[in-house]
Amino acid sequence: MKKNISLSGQDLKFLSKPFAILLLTIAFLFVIVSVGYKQITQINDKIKSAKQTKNLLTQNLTILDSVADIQGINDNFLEIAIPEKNASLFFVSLIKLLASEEGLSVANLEASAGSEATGGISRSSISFDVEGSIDGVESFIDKINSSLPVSSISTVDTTLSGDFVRATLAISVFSAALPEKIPAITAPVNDLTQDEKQLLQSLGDYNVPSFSNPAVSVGGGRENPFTQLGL
Amino acid sequence: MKNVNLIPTELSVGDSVTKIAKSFKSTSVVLAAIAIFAILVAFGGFFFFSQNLKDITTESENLKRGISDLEKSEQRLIFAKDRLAKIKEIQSEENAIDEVKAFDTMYKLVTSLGNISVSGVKIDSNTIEFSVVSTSLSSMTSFFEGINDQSDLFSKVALSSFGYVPSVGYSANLVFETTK
Repeated sequence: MKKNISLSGQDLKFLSKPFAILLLTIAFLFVIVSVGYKQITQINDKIKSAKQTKNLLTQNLTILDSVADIQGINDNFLEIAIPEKNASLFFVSLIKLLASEEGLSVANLEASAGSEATGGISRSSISFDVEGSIDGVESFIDKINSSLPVSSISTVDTTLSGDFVRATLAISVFSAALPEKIPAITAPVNDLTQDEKQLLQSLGDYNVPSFSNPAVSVGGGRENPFTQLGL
Repeated sequence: MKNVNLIPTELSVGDSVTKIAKSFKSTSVVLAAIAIFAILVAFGGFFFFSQNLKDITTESENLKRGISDLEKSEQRLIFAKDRLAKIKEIQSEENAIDEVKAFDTMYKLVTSLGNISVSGVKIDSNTIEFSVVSTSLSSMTSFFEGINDQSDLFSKVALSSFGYVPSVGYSANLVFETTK
């Protein structure tokens, strides 16, 4: 059975104060809970992000700590393998050096200016004639291929007469600008892959040519020609 | 002691209204207590998480300092990766060195036969054009048979010309397409 509750004006006046207090308390509790929840959620998100950054930095530090242990990474053959600037002149000297080692004569050496970089790699072409014994020429080509800077043999045009060979070779040599940017400190650092480590080790087997520097002559300068004039 | 109600009867309220007012008051007290507890929990949690965040940030700063100290290693690693990627790209390009090695095998075959010699060779990254001369047809035949033994070096061999000049002998021009 429904019970009708009828409130007089006096009753309502009597209830208004506790009801207002109740409403205020509910509102207060709602504000506390919502503000508190928002603050805790925000700080939790910051902790999550900070943890991710910390893990990344830990990983980067581990990788960088182990860089020095990578075999061959601190050897200078990487600089020689692909020089920063056009390597034609260096390679021409290498050709002459290796040819003389094999007792071959070199003629008609021509080197082109480097082509525009594609994929960051500039290419220069060198062509020349080489004459001598067949074994010498084969050994010469093999040495060129296993020497730094890295090169690519484009064509070999050979005329043979007995054991004497005259070969015209076209070889490409490469150069590339140095990397310009280091990623941000919070960006991931990628370690060398297994393939890259193997390639790095194999570069150690290449011959790095050593050119002797001509010694500077000391003394023997011309006498002062002005002493005779009494100056 | 007896309760004396001095409120005028027109101002007095019923028992049920008084009960409702009491329940409002007691609910307000409970909610206020919950609110105070919530404030304490929020402050406590905020302090705890702030401390946690501060610790992680400090550790991250230390790690950043460690990484800055290893800047040389980082430069070296980036340089090495850059150079190795470029070397790989160059090595994947066409290079006639394998053809030169295949030519060496063919040349040794020719020199092992006698009465036959190589007169010219053109090598590029896919083919070897090989010219031989011989005073004897049987040597030429042995050479062709020898090519068959070296079939793993080539995907295709084409005899582009075969001739005979009485003063020189037999001449053959072959084009070998190498296997990559």
